[in-house]
Amino acid sequence: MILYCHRIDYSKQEIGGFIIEDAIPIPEGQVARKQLHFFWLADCSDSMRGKKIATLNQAIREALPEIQKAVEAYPQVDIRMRAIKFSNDAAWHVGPDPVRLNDFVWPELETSGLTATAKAIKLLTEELSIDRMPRRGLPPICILISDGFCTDPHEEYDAAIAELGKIPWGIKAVRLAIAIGDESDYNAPELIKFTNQESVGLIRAHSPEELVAYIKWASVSASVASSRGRSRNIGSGEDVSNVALDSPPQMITSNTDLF
Amino acid sequence: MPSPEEFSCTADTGLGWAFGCSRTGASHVRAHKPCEDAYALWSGSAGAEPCIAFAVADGHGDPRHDLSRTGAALAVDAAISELVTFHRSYAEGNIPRQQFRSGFKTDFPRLATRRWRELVLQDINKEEIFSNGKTIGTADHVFTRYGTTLLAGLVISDTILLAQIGDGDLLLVRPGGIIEFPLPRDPLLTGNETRSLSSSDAHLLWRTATLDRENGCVLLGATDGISDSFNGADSEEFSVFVHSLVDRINMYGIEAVAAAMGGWLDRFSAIASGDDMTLVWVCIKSEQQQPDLKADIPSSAGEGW
Repeated sequence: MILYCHRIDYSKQEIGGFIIEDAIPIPEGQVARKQLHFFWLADCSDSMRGKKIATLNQAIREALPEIQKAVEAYPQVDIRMRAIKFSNDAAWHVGPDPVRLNDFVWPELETSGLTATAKAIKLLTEELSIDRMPRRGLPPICILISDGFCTDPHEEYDAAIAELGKIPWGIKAVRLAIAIGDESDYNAPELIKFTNQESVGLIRAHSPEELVAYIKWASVSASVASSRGRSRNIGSGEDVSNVALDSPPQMITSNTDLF
Repeated sequence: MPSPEEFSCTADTGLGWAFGCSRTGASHVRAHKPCEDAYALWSGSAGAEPCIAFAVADGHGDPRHDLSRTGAALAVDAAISELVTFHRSYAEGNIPRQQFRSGFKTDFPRLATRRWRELVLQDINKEEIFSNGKTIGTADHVFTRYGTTLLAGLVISDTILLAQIGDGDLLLVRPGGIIEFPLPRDPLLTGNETRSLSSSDAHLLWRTATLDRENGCVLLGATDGISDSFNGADSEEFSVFVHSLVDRINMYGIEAVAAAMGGWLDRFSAIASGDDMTLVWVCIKSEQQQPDLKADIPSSAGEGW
């Protein structure tokens, strides 16, 4: 009996950094890591001018290497990042094509105009539709950062939130909101409608120091939690994200440097 | 039941050969967690009619499904047991084929679900003894803890029966290379969500198919970790992988491919999905081919199936 007659033909293949010496060539087909889509929604209205926008720009840039480091433990995850900016209207700051985390660069965000939060959420909802997202990806991450009241009509804002909450990826996404400045300056009930992490609630950054810390905490925690990606029964819970974050850390900040 | 780190094979019944391979996912290895997949193969005959039965299950893994590894093992046990009983009851009763096929669609999901629930309740009673009477919760809560997917198949002389609840892939490659996905896709599943045997309406969530054996095929049953490594079962790259795998079987022989499979799955998991990976493949001969044990030594390369 001739067993393994083809096994004398050893070949070396390099796949994903592995040097493979195999009796039989590994089957073909380009392997792909699991995609995790990450969306920033950044307010660049006129009220963000000065220290707020400068801190936001700096904080997101500083968060990127920290996200990268945190997800090194999950090499099967491929984070793709995009950013939506909103003032009088909503537009892509980085996108609509997603950019790999390694290649993502945060361009300086300039301020002007009003606060079209509803339009930004509508733009996000379009991108989270089933036909634009990978069917078996990890729960997306959406972080909204704003310092003000939405200037779109209330009905438009509520309709945008309702639509986001109806689509499968909108439900499954980890949705966080960071409010900037004094509590009288922004609409907390409005921003909290965007979120779906009960234990986190609305993240309130009163100072540049807090904004930097919270942007890093939110982006890193959400990335790690989503990357864990365990299966669950579709009927085992309510229509909620299957990722749950812990509460953000308490910040002790000096009163001298508030927004 | 085979250990997840091994491959095993059934005896040739004249229908073909079946192999299975299960590997702990790279992310589980890193976290020192066990494989939550399970598979089982069975071959034999009833009423002088041979059959091959197989089952593959994928425990959910989410913390609320903390006993899903056991749930998966019990699921493949339940499926094989019900498939064999089902085959035996029809073969020995000499029941017409049409009735056999329709009986599978109507009865198998209900019977397999019920059998799994019985096994779970037996197991949780044992668990309760070991946990010193700690509260184990309501029946629904118990089933949730064991949550798993399940896909199963039965091959007999002229028919292939398939059933699935939850994610994972069941597909066939016919001679000529045509890939068929005989079960309809579930449009509601996104991300990490799946249907489950633990659902209270699980018997209604199955998808089934009955097919003609025709000129034979390679039948693949896999947990979702494999297709996820190729960007999903719908992707072109997954088709490339499936065709290439069948080419390897034809060129190198079934046994050699079985020996290599564990290493391949480890690599896919390490560089792609990170998930546990389980694959069962059945090389089904054409109805016209007569069983010839000498010619069917699985390591004989280049014979096709």
